Amino acid sequence: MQRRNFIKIGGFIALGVLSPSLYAGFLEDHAKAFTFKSAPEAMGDLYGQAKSAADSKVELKVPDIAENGGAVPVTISTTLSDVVEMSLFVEKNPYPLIAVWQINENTIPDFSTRIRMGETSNVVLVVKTKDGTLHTATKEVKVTVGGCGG
Amino acid sequence: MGIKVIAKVKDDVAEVKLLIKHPMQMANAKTNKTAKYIQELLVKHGGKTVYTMYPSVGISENPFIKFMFKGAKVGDKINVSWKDNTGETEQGEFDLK
Repeated sequence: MQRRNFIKIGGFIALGVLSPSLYAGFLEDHAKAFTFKSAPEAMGDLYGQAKSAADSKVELKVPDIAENGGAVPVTISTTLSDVVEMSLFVEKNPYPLIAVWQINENTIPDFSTRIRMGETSNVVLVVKTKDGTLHTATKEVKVTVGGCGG
Repeated sequence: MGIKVIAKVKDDVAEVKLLIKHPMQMANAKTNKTAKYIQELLVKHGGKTVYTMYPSVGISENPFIKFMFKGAKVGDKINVSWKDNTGETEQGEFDLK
């Protein structure tokens, strides 16, 4: 009986320790990803050794030429199902990881925003599905006036 | 600071446009500026989170965000909240139209 109680209490303690990292811990676990100066390092922090491949079901809409690197319009979407996370990288930015989106039950994986680009660079969208695989789309944006000064 | 929202429902899908007043400032040793940027942006609808974003200084000043979510009705409310790296937070409630 005592042993059983011990196990029960132990279980609750374990849950208490684990649940914050399951529900609110992305930044605690991955804040470092935003500090890496190369896209592969940032991706490694987020996804470890997960396999990635270009996928036509992943769509990255960016202009071919951006006159103002301070605000480059980006739309990211995918027709893949079981999407759990999306992340966006600008390879040549000082800090390549731009943002991470987590996909909730009612979220439609189709987002638009405006990003900063310091110079002409590849933009990479990574979509992670439930099975842990990574699906990517890459496009180059030519930047006339960089937006990473200030 | 300030959050502006345009949110429209068509069928059961809400299209939400957010405009947040925030500098999204990079650290700059030359000008002694410290970084100030939104780290977490959440939108909730009826107790469920419908948008979870972790931005960085790579997102432009005064961030513009567009997204869609299912299960929405005209008259429902959404709660938009953000937290930046200095600990500053802001939130607001908005009607779906």
